[in-house]
Amino acid sequence: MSDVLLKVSDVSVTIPTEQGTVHAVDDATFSINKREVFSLIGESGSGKSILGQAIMRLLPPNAMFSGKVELEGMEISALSEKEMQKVRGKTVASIAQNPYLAMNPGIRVGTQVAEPMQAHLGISKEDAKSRTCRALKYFDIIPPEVREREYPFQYSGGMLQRAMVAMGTAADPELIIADEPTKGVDVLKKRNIAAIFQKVASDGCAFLLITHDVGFARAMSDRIAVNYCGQIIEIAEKEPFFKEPLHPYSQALLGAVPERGMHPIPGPSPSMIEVPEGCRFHPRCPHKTDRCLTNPPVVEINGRFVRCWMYA
Amino acid sequence: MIKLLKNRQIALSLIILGGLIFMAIFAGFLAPYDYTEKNLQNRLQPPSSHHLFGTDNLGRDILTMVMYGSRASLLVGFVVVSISLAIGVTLGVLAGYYGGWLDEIIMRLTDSFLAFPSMFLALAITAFLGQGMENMMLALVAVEWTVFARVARGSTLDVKTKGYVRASRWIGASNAYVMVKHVLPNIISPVLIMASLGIGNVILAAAGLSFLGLGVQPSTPEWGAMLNAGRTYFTTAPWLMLFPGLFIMITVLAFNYFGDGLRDALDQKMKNIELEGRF
Amino acid sequence: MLKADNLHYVYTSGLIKIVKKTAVCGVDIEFCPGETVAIVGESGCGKSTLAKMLVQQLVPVSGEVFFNGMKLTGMSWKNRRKFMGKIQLIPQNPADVVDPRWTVERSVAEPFVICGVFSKEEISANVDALFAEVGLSVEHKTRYPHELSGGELQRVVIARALALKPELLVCDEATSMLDVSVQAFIVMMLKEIQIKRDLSLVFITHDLEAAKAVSDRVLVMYAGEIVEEGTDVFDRPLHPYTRALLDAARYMSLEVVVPEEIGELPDGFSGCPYYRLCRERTDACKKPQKLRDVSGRLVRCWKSK
Repeated sequence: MSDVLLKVSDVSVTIPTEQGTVHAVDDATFSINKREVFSLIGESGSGKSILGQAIMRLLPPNAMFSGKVELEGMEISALSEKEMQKVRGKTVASIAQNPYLAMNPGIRVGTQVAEPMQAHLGISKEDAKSRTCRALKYFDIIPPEVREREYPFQYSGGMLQRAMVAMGTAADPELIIADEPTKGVDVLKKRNIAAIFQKVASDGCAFLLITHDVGFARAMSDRIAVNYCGQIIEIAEKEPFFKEPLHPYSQALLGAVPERGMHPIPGPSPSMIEVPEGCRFHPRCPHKTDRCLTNPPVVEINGRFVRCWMYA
Repeated sequence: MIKLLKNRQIALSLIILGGLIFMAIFAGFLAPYDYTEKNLQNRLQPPSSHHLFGTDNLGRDILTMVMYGSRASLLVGFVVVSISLAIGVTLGVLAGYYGGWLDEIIMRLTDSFLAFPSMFLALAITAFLGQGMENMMLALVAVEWTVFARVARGSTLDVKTKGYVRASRWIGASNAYVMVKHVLPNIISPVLIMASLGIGNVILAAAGLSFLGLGVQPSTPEWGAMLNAGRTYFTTAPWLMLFPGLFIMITVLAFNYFGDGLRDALDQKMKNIELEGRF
Repeated sequence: MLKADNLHYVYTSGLIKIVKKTAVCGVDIEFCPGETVAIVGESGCGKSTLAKMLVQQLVPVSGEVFFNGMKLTGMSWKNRRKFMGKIQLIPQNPADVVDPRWTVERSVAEPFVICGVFSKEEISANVDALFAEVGLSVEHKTRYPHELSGGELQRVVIARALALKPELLVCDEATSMLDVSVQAFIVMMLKEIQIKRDLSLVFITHDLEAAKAVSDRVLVMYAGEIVEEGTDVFDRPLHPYTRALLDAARYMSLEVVVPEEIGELPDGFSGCPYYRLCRERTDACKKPQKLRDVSGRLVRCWKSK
């Protein structure tokens, strides 16, 4: 138990819209251990970003949340907004997708990087400054004393990305949530992001990577969770998962990557409003039977979890 | 379209505008008296059950005159804005789409029009051309078209860089085709917003010019001219100015309110399109 | 079929201080009918600029493009019009090339309308056939772009591009914004259409695995030049840059690369553009490098054998 950093139990999120209620997250249960890199993979629109926002308590105001999120044994889903602000950025930090949008263009980079430290660690301005310089140097932003005083537009894209990671890790968080860090980024930049993340992870920080990039997840993570249509349908250690995915959707997803022959998944993506009855993958599943029309149980096999009747 | 009506601002202003337009069209049936009917015995009567809005210095019913007056005001508003819109949008789209020297010429032209205070410009033109409804409208068009030209040019510059404009050029579409089929529909919402705000402005300006005696012939009822006529009796018979003034205010407010509502609604619609586009 | 000789493109920006940036520098390419070619490289290497020049959306600063022996560069717009449907570009963001205020049916019909030789019935029949070809159902026709998902919209754009019976489709990162399963669907669909219609396909991508999976021939671009070209580039990379790309794609040797530290190449440097980042550089790399034929492979590195 002491190893568990983040525990998410029975979390559901629904968002009412004009077209109907979106079942963005349904019954999500998983835990992330300390120093672990945990990836949540799934296609866009499968609700994985909403789950990340739910953990950070940054959901859109009209979203309905139920369930429990515990961080280091503390139930953060029950905290008041004020108390949550103390947690955000300190124990759990998030790294945005686009560094150009995440950094305020009118404030010096050093000031922005120092912000979480000053807010959470209660240190003096001078201390924060020297720590900022150290952090920038750690991420190869050199010379830090000069770069610290510059504005985001003076940085190159890669540098800004690193500065953003420096900002996220400034207050030594235990867990970093990164939502689609590699979206729209080319191979070399992806490799750089992977390298920075690995550097941070090797210092003992746990990661929740929310990504649709199977290759990136494979390179980075210790454990993988697969999200489909708002539900986590499989959780497994990386090696056995890529060797032998259990859930038919996981199999189909891996079959679609270029290395494995680019086999498209038949059928259209399901609507998040009128979700399929029973197993949400059954309309596209090659192994479907009659029982798939009822909700499949979550089955545990050798420490792996899979939400499918085939293994019940 | 039905969604637009759900916006309370739009619905309310449309009801008021509908009422005003109805009043203008059916003034002949609705008005209790004839607007030419003078009755010197009944001059300067305060509002009463016979004359709801009172009578003026010639004994004419003010309610009747206000109703007929709405014809002139709304007509001026719609005609001036339509002509300005046609001229302004055409020039603005051409300037924005082709750019270069054409853009320079058209935009410097609008700049030179904008360099004068608009009321002064209109005054100068009417003074030069002489009094009369047509000349007043001409003067107002000269002031108003620049607004549309600027808005249309700005939006065209934006739409011009969009992929669908280039894409249709690359399958062989002519410039005229692209301007009519792609550019116009995509710039029309800011232009419509400007148009509804513009009608309010024009009505106000027309009333102002008429007040100064440069607008319609004194015999035809018009709100601005009524204000002017009532000026001398302001202390003894304030209703002479109160009611035409009130109607100018309501009309201009309704048009501005409508324009604001339209902008909010269309902005929201565009935002929704952009947001949904992301998923 | 399509041939480009010595293409150059320079972006000019700035009003007072004019900044020139060479995007494409002396590229020769030739495409054969029915062939699939992948052009790979990092973002900013000039591959999109090259694509735009190939489909005549950008006018090259110098160099020529030939289509079936006809010289397209320098041709007047009127004369070029009849070739416009023959080379089509599928862009990265499909929402960008369809008018948001048009139904997708109208967008697909637009090429026929512009062409001006079809009757209403012919157009509607053609549009129906195109929708069927890209696997969209009739109910999609009356929708607006924002009501469709990215994959569906990309199929609309492909249908539109197919309208005028193209001979070459250039896909500029056409699938890199999409999910893997949708990407797989679109790529497989394009390959099917290619066989059916005997098209040439050009995939411009930074996804090396996808490039490897779909293409007959691969060109690697760096700093506006083709640095390597061949049919088995990824199995046996010869240029150091290709090797670096492959390592990155496989997340090998994970270390933070800091280009700022390495710095820019000095002004007037005419040697290998990869000189500063190359691990195998020697003084001989400071001389201009030519594309050399190394046993059926073109490589712009003097070292490769």
